[in-house]
Amino acid sequence: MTARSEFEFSVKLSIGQFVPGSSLLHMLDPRVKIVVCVMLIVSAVLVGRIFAVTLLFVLVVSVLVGTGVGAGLAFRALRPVAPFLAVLAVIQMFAIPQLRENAVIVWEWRFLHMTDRSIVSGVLLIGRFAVIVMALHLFSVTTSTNQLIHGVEQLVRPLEKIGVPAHELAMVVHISLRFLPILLFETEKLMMAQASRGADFGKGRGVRRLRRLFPLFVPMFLISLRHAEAIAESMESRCYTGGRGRTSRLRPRLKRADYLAIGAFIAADGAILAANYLFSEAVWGSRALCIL
Amino acid sequence: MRNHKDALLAIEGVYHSYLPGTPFERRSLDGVDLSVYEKETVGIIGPSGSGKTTLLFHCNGLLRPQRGTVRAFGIPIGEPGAELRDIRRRVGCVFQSPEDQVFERYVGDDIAFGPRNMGLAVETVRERVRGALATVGYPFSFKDRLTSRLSLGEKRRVAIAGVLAMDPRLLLLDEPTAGLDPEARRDLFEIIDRFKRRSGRAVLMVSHRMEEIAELSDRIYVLVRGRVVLQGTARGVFSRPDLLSENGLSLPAPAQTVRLLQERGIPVRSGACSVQEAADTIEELFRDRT
Amino acid sequence: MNEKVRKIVIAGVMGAISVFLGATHLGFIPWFAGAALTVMHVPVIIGAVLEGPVVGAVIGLIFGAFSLIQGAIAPTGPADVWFVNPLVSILPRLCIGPVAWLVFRAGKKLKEGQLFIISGFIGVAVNVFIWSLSQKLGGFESDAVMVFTVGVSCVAAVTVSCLLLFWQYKKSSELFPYAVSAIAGSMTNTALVLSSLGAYKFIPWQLIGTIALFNGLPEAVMAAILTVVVVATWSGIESKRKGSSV
Repeated sequence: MTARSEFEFSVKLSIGQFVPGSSLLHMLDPRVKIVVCVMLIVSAVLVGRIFAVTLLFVLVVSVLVGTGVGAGLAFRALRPVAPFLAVLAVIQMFAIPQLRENAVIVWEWRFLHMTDRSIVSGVLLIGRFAVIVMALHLFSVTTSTNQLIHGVEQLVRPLEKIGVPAHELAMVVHISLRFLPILLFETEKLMMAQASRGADFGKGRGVRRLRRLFPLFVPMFLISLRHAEAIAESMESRCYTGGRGRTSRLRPRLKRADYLAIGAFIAADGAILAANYLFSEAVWGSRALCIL
Repeated sequence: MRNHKDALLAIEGVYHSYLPGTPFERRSLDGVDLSVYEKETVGIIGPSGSGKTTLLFHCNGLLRPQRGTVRAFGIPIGEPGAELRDIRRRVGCVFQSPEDQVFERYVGDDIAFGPRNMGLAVETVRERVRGALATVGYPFSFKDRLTSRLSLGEKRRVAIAGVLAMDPRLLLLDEPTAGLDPEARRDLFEIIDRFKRRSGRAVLMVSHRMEEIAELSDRIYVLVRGRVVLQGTARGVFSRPDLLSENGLSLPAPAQTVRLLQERGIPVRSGACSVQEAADTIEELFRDRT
Repeated sequence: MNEKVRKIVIAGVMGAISVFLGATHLGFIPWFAGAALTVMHVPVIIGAVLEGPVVGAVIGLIFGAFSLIQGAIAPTGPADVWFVNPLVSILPRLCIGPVAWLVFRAGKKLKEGQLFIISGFIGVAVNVFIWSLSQKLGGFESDAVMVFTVGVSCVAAVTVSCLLLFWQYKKSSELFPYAVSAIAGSMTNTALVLSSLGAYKFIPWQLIGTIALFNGLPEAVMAAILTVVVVATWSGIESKRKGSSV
């Protein structure tokens, strides 16, 4: 028990922490990892078949095992999500009325029902989320925030030609991440100062709680705006004028391993997506296969 | 020695460490004893990181002691279920750069935040605001000023008024003069003075400006790495320059002047803490000569 | 001060507030029946009205991306997990800022009376949108209860926004556009998130009207008040009373 717990947030902010290491994934160029991660998320959303989502899952796990990060880490990532996923899947499988229309009913009791469509959608839900969670996790655990920001900036740089301010976007993310600890410190201080003036941040709900939190939210915004002015001023006094003509100390180059990794991944992911669309009901005309 | 039971605030053997049980554990208070009596101004000095602010946070229950006891107005703070809101009403705390916490659009509403939290009637709240504004040296009409148009010094006075409006008997001040110009600092001393003029009030203040601690405090505690290494009257504490400099603290400028004169072989009496006292002791020299 | 630098910094700082409120759960205010009101979209609105639509969209992107990551890595309830889908978490949030800014711009040009009517229409439009969408996809035409709920939500939306605006009007007409744009921004968030949840069949359409009423409305009111208070204090806009309430 910490004596400070009443006003302490630090503990709650450690989400998806970067763990320094020397696995293959740590070594890869951040751009490659971003592309892989985004592709995994997009394919997980697009995929509509059980076998395809299973293959995606196998793909993520094999990436983790193959690069020496270890699958244990990824399964640990799934643990906090698992109970919620289970609840959602059960609801999806038994209680969504829309999934009952044009479906083969497997089992039924009062308002509960299980159909071929509800099974598919329940399994897909679990599979999709598992893939996305693991993809995000393998990325965040092996990539430091600096690498992330540089990677994003370089990836979006080609878009500068059509007017997307890549460098500026990266700078925004950078400031956000750097400002979080300041905000944390300021909020702790605010809460303590207001507690000294008789404010009570205890439980309570609805309007009552809102009235307690308002005097906290308002100065939180004001302090941040004030900080923002100071940051902007100090950036300007160091002659910051945006991305144009700015050079970088770190200029990562894509190595052969990076090309190999991204090539192999795109091939595997593309094959899964293609299979997903090829083995559709329209092609095979069979309902039984469709379930898979 | 005064009876310990009369103390407004009595701290005994308080330990505190941040993030206990983790690799980042850092001890900030290591068995501190401190007491504040009625009508007193007590100063705490120490190098940065010595636990001054942490100690202050124990005085009105913002932190609970991990070991040891803290009693404010006879109420033990450490125990669960202690009426902390009641204690915080009687022990007002002005934080470092308190102007950051001014959040209402108008001065009056900000000062009224504390009294309103206490559930006072509208009339009483108005009287509290009037009184607090008077103590910090502003007319009642100042309540309608926009907080976004105030200068830093004005805002700080408003923030202090916000604490004074709770009508505390013990006022805690954390680096109250940091960032103020000499004139605003003078004004602040006057505010403290006005506050103390009312019966039974006491002040506990933390600062690393030796001059103001020396000038304002009846008693001084020197805090180094979470321990009280020296305590006593200003005169007593500042007659130990060796112990102070050992811990990275300097003497107040007047005392330093006297000390430099002594080192050059001029027989000045030591113990001067304020400019006035230093002037007096130096004058003594000339008077003896003539 | 250089416009661009200030825009970058304000976007970053407001994005941080949004993330902070989400990560510490300070931004979730327990409401009734286990539901919670959120204020994480308020930094988006404030950023948009202070610095324009692009800044608003960027803050929205940060807000959305964070709720996606939080849903994937540290969810605190089944509802968080829905947000792992970028169409639920990111797309709706991108729209909050630009909508709030557009309404703000329009609001500055119009007179109060006109705004009064328009804001009413926004309330109706958003709710009719949800209503018609739910009718189309949910197929509960026969369900009189649902029609009633959605109808009530329309009426309540108009009443509350009118009341709020009236209150604001009495305080200061300068703050009028801020309140309206905050309501519009907040309702954009509610409407788009709920309809994407509905489209993915995470929530039955029958429930969506109720949620829009019981969560969306108070959230909009809250966003409006918070935005107005912050902007007024920040830029020193006087209230009609020109003085404190003491």
